[in-house]
Amino acid sequence: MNMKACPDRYDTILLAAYGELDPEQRRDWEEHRTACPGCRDEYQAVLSLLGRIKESMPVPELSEKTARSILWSVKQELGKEREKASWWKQWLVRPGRLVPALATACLVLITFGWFGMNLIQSPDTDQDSLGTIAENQAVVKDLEVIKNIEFLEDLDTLQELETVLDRNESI
Amino acid sequence: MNPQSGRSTQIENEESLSRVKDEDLVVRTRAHDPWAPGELVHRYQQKAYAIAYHFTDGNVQDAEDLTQEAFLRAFQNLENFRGDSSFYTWFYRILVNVCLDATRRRKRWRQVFLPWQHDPTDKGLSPEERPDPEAHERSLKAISEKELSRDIRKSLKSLPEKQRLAFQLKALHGMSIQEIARTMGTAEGTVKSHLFRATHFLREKFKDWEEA
Repeated sequence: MNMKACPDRYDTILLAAYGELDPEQRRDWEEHRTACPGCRDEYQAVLSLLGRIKESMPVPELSEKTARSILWSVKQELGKEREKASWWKQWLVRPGRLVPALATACLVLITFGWFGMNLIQSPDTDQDSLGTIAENQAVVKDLEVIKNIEFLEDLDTLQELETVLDRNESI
Repeated sequence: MNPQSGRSTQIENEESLSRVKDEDLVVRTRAHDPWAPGELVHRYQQKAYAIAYHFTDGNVQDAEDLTQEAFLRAFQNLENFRGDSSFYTWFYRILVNVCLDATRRRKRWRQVFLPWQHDPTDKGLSPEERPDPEAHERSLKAISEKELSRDIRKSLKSLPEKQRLAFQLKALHGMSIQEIARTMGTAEGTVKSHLFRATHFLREKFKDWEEA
């Protein structure tokens, strides 16, 4: 019957199997391994398992043709990207090329701006004129009232006189 | 021109180019040297392909596509490579991310379009949470070598993503724990923990085979 490995040594066994022990840990492990058959067996079992797994998962060699095809595709894509980048750089490095484009943009902005302002202003103008007419009408009404104020005052006096007379008659 | 002397010059050039450090190649690639990216691809494509191949469960076409995508992404982001780590660690990190993205994309796609194709091993549970595999599986002593290989692949596939990644990079690709930590963007202690859990799970699962 196989002896069991020391539970506190299990991590060391795995690190040893993976070749990850530093020299001091390695020395310590080697000493323990010679003295402990359980740990020795477990170490061998892990090594054998790892070997078996590696064997069962081989990787096909990348063929020369595929390797070239990958390289070609990568270079092709990089070339395309550089072309795109250089197109932008041309504009950035030589701003003189931007002058016609900027001029056209300005022209378009001015034209549309002018038409746009007209379109925006026209409904407001109508509203303004309507407002002005209403205001003028109100002013005319006020003037009429002011002109006839004396007549209106006389009317008020007559009304008061009428009410006094009516009261006297009733008495 | 003598063709023989031309050939020898080419060989000499190739030999001298193979001695150029990765960091110098990165500098040359940044400076748009047309040869430099090719040399970097040449140096790392075999190992990159191997990692992608294991990630895609042996799908050759997918592995090639992922390798290509990883190189492209690396060259596109070369400006971000500050040289804190070696080029290959930085590149493998990109590769692993490309592979993880592809795996997740595939998983999502399956969940959306093929929900009836449920993989019973793919429950996202840690090995400790899963039911005892020995209770469900027939004795490993009886199965043939070929079946054992298939079983190993299946068991690896059933591991949680990070445990599987750490285990594959260590056991199959011989990377050091430090390199794996940099590649995965995590602490060395975490990598060790993933590695130990994965190894322990596989060790338990294939105990019968070892005894046989």
